[in-house]
Amino acid sequence: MIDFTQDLTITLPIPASSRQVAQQFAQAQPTPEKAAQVYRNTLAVLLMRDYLQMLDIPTHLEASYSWNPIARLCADVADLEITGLGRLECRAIQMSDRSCSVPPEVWQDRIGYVVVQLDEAGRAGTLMGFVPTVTTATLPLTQLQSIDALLVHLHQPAPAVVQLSQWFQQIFAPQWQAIATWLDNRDTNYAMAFRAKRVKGVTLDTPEAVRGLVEQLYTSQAESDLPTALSATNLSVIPALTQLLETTQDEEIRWTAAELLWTLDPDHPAAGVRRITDLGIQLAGHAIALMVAILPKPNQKVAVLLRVYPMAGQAYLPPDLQLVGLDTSGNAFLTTQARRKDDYIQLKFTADLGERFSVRIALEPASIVENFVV
Amino acid sequence: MTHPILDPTSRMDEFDQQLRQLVIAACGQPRGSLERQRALNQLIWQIQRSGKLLRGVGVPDYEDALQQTWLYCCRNLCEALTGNAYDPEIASVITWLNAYLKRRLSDRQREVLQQQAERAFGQISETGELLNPIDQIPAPASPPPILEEIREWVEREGAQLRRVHVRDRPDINCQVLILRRLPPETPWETLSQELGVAIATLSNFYQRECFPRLLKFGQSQGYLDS
Repeated sequence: MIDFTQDLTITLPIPASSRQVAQQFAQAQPTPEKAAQVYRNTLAVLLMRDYLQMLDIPTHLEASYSWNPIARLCADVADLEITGLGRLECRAIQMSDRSCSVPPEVWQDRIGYVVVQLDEAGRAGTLMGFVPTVTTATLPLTQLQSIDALLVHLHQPAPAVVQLSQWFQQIFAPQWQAIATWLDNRDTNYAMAFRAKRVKGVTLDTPEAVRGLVEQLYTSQAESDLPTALSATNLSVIPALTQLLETTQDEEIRWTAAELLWTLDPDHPAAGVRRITDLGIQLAGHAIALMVAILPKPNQKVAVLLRVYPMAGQAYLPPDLQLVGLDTSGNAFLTTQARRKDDYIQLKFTADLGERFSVRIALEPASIVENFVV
Repeated sequence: MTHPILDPTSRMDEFDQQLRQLVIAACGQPRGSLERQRALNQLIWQIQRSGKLLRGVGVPDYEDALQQTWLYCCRNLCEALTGNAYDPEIASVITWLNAYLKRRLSDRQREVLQQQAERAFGQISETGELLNPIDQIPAPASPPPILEEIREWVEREGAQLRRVHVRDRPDINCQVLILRRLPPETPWETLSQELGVAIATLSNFYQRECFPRLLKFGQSQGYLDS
């Protein structure tokens, strides 16, 4: 048996062609400090490229920020795009360094960080090791995992990430079903209960009830500006709702309006996108479903609603079931918990386009995590 | 008669045996597989650690010849991709690689003799040391045009860029951050203290709002890649 676990570093020569490219990139920089930074970043990226080439791991330099003249001028970037995987950041250090600085502009959007020690003459570089994520601006070399661990890391399938922005273009993974499709596969009683037209505890069985709720939404706004048409005829309930969706600053009102619209006209374009997935019975045998709804907002922002429902004929969620929103560092930014007789629990927040978050649904000690990018 | 334990070749055999095992491990797996990559990684490290490859300090273009050799090693160890495949019956891996490296070095030497060109890199100082190339990057005479173009764009699009800002902080907007981070850039720490906002908030905002706009501007100006 071959022992792969020992800590090893790989030293590679730096060919003249690499030094020429680095010099060329460096010369385009306005200050000597910036030029030195770009020089080292370029060498580190090229060295990593050379090594990955040796191991038949395809890379795409031209798709890397470090290969974009604007990007390397405006940010301290040393990323190398690994085809199909993402950006591997290659941070250069000097021979005497015992730690590696990781600038804030590369804290996100990376599949890992490799530390490359360059010799004084820029003739050779050593791959010191790697870490999958960074949590501090300074990375002590003692925390590095071996290059062998990097290879294993590159072969691990990335956790599935649900691309919410694609939902706006009607692109969905098969497990995220439209509510109607999903209900078609459920037993009739359950579907009936789910479909019951109840919003905010109001049963929407008459046009008056609907209008009453819409008016209530409008008047609960800070500056009530009820369209005069609304009081005149029922037909304008939906335009009133879409106007409310576009103008309200209040998240509660926004989502109640959206929910009304789902009930009255589920396919209306202003109702955003809503999908549901079956999470199975991984939580101590309790079958539950996760619904995610998104609504576009101004300034590249998206309103997100997460809701957990009971399944398998259950009317209520198991008490103490938790729904937690996690940021990219794994910190909870929102938490809610089912009480006795909750028919669903939910979280609402606003995210920026491109922002990542995860959802943890837990009935201790069991939990399920789903990853999303807006 | 030499005692077997003191025989220097016995250690050598052990090393060769180890390499041979790694070659078998690598070549028993398909190209691009994790197990092949791990075995190659280990093999390269073992060869380096042994110090048995030809050294060429100060030999012109030694680095190029050596890198060619590493690539040749990985490409032809198991399959004949760019040359003849390695045959363990003929030579040890080290002998095979040194033969290739030697040929590359003499090729280079011939080229150098032919050209005798002045090289811009790795110049030797009067004391015979390799000069640090970073010290030799000539200082640009004037700010590069790209920097001026970004400044002009940031001014031109000022109203638009100021509209995008950190929540509840209109003073921390795209225009301000792009300008402050243009080289010579203000350190993130300084910006964080000055504005009273965490570095992560600033850099997240920069990554999310400023950086993509800069890249888009670059694209519109035809700065795709070098």
